[in-house]
Amino acid sequence: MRKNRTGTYIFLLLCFMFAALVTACSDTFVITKDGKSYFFGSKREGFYKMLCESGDLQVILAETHISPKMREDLYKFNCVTPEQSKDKVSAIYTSMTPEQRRDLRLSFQKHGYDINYMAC
Amino acid sequence: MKLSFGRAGLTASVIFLFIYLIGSPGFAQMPGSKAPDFTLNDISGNKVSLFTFNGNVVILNFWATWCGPCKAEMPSLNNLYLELRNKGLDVVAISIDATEKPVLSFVSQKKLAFPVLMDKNKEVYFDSYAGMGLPETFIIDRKGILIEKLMGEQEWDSPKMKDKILLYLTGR
Repeated sequence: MRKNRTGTYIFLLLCFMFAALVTACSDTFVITKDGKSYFFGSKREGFYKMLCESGDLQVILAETHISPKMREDLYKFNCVTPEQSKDKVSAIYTSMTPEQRRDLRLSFQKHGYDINYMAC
Repeated sequence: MKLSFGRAGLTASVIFLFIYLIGSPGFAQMPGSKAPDFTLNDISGNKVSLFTFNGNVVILNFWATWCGPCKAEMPSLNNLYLELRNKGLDVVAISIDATEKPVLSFVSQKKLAFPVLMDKNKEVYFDSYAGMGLPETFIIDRKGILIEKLMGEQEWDSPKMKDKILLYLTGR
């Protein structure tokens, strides 16, 4: 019985892992710096330390020409704990114009971040 | 070890399906929107623009040589192209590699017959097409309209995929 349960739990875990893999490329984009990669909008501690605690995201956004409201929202949905939302970050990302995305990409790259350096 | 596929297994499957479905990639651009035009250099240094393929169905594939799934799907994409190019299919692969060297080597090794362009700064991939991962593929109809976006590795020469592309080629 114990073995059967173990099998079920393994199956459950594999399902989650596979689902995570399948959806891994579907939300926003991935930023990489110093060998560490996170989805933009991630709630992981490493992401928070790398982009929020360091002040990087504030500087990166400040150096773009995207609207103050969009900058404020991107900061809030990435870095302000009760407001963090990957879905809202994704919604902003997909609504951006090519010029705004270009601006954001250049600012990330200027500060040593690579974008989407990851396979699905 | 005998695997018990009971209630928990069923629950797992339902959760999996739910996550898969809600996680299915949408369109950065609205469905039915015009495919953003671009001009990039191919691996030989010649300028190539998307609009030159107008009138054909275009499979626009973003990839890189450091991306395993991208490389894995290339032979099947080449097979599909070779089989359907006379029916009006074009394949345009855009590499986001930082240099041409590994791209040239891979293209030569796999004998890829379709044009391979370089987007080193990700201007087309990220800025115009809002890239979310690799491989990422867009299908563009004969009028230059984005009709489908596919994330991840595909089996391009499978009967199912061929049937789908044939439908696009005949205008459904």
